[in-house]
Amino acid sequence: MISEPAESKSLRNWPTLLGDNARTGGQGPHPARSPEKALWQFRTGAVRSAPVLVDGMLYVTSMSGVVHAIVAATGVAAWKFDAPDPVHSTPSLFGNSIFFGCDNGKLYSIDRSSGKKLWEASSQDEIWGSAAVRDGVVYFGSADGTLYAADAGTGSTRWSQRLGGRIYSTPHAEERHVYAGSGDGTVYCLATDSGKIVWGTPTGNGIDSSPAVADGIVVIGSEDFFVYALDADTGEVRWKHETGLGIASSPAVSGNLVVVGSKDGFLYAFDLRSGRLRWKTEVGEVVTTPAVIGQGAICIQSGGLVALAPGSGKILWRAGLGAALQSVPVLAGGCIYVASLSGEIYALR
Amino acid sequence: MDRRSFVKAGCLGSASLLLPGLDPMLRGETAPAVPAIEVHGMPGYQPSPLGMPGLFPGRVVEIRDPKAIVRNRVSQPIVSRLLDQAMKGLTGATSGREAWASFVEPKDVVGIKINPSGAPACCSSPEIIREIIAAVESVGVPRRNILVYDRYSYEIDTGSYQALLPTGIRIVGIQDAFVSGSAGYETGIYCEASFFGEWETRSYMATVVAQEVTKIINVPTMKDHSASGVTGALKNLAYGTFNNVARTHLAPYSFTNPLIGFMCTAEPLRSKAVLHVMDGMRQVWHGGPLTQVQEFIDQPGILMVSTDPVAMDTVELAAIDKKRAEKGAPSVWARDPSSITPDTNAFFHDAGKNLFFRQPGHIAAAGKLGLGIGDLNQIDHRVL
Repeated sequence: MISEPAESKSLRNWPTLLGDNARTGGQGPHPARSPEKALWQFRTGAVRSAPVLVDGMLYVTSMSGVVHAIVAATGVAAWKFDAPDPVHSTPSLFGNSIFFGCDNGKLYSIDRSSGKKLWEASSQDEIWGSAAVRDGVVYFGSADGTLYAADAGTGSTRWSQRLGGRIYSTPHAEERHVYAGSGDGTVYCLATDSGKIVWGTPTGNGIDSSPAVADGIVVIGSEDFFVYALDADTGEVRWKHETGLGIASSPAVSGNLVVVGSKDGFLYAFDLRSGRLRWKTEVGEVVTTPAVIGQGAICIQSGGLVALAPGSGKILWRAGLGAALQSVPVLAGGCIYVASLSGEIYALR
Repeated sequence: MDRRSFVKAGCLGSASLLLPGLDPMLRGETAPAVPAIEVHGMPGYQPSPLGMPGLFPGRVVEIRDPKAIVRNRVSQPIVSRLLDQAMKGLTGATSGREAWASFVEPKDVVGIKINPSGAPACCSSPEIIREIIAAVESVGVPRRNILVYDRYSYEIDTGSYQALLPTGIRIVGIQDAFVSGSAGYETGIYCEASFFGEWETRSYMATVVAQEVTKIINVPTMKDHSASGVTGALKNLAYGTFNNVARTHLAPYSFTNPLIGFMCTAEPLRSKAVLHVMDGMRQVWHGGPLTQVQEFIDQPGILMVSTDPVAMDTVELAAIDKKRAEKGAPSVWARDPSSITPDTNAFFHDAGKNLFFRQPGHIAAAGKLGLGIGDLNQIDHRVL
């Protein structure tokens, strides 16, 4: 059992990457026991993004440019939306809108009931990160090196701020600040109302990881091999820990537990506040995806689906699905939803 | 002129007897015979004098600094210096910009062919790619006309190249790894052969190579390869440009020799590949091309530049085989059937095991096809 209290607002919904806009990786009491069977399997194009789930509907983007709405209970398609280019971005849901970035440099808002386009907002290069939504504003980064804030209802630009490198990091939005990593190796904190840079903390190489924020601490990985914990107000380094290779995986946080994977093949667990290494476990050859934290198990996709005990890091079970997985599982409603690079989406129970 | 070259079985059969690297086992009773290979280049393409073996046939410039990589971290300032010195050493130019101007013009669309297949443990270092981008920019090529590409988008993703390279350039994964089809490839430019009775006997050239770029800077890594012996400049170009190439090796046999060389003769690939920058920051001496086992990956901090991929790979092959000998591993030329295993786990963790009878002779074979010099005694190997 996980030692920290669960803080999830929802048992069943999973409306954005890592479960909520804080990118906490679940935290909820979702059952994460070993799956015994596949309830259904859905075929689409290669999926590099993560599914999201709201009100019994699973939304999945694919590199063939199609966004699917799938009835989670049955695996039956409700509608699909054809984007003009590949989609690597995990969708985010807010109200009745679904937001996702596209390789054509546009962020799309579509109606989640009908799949009809509501608006699009343009950047100058591909958008792979997921959007963060808070207080009616959508925040997203682009490979053009700019972080954008747009009105969630209309798509009109509130502000844009040029950072130093390509942005593949999904931003985290708080009330006053929005945080993101950049390819220039700097973790940025911007003011949500103006886009003004509040602070920037350099790391030793580019950043492909997305920040998680909890208890006034920003946790993020860098391609310089380190996990960083930064003071959310000042950017001061509270602690950092060196792994064996670069970190593209995004941290998940639950209570005082931080879990993050490294390309060295290990999953690392730390105390959020002290940075003490609780355990590290080799889960595969390379880890680039984020872990998610469920009740009784931490799940990560690395050469299959792997579940670990939160307290010890011991591997509880592995599910080989016969396909390469670069996505993030969704733990909800007693099911595990996963997607693969070969284009299958599975509902496992 | 129709540049299609057409290699019939009889021609190849005759050639194979002359190629010193062609595996003798392939002439044995149990090994499959070398099939006919047809190379269909772009019709009417005018060959470039910069094409392989390029401006400096047989010349390989090597430079190293052990401090260029420390515990898997590559030093940007040191590789910047190494690349500058190596390019001046190759060309005789007095400045880096002058050296690069020998190969690239402001009007060019420059493709940088990376090798991300061993990412993250051993792949083209983003630090070197950054320096190449900066050098190409220094000649006057705008960033929008620089693209970094490889065959599989998911391998580029694993290497985090998207996040680590400068804004404004394009990063192109020609295909999604697990989605078949010919999208992204030219169906009129191909190599055709039936190796093991496969249903698709053609390998098509990538559109980005055939139609988009005007020059290619090739950035291979120093790795042994379970099927081809080593993977260097030739294999990085050939198997990263054409699709449907895994069909050439079916354990324990491999037809990487001679297909790699033939693919590199196909126009416009041959003409556009004007420079090869070998990333030897890491050196995989066993388990390549995909190993993540650090025990088999040295970090010598080497950089090599050449216009001649055959000469470059010949130097690489000698270095890898020397390292294997130092480590007590059998030569990549070894043909001991007892070393062959179908167990990939055994291969990845035992330097005495392999999945295929390796085919390092593909390099000499490419030399016979006119792509460069494959005799170490004739190679102008300059160590700075």
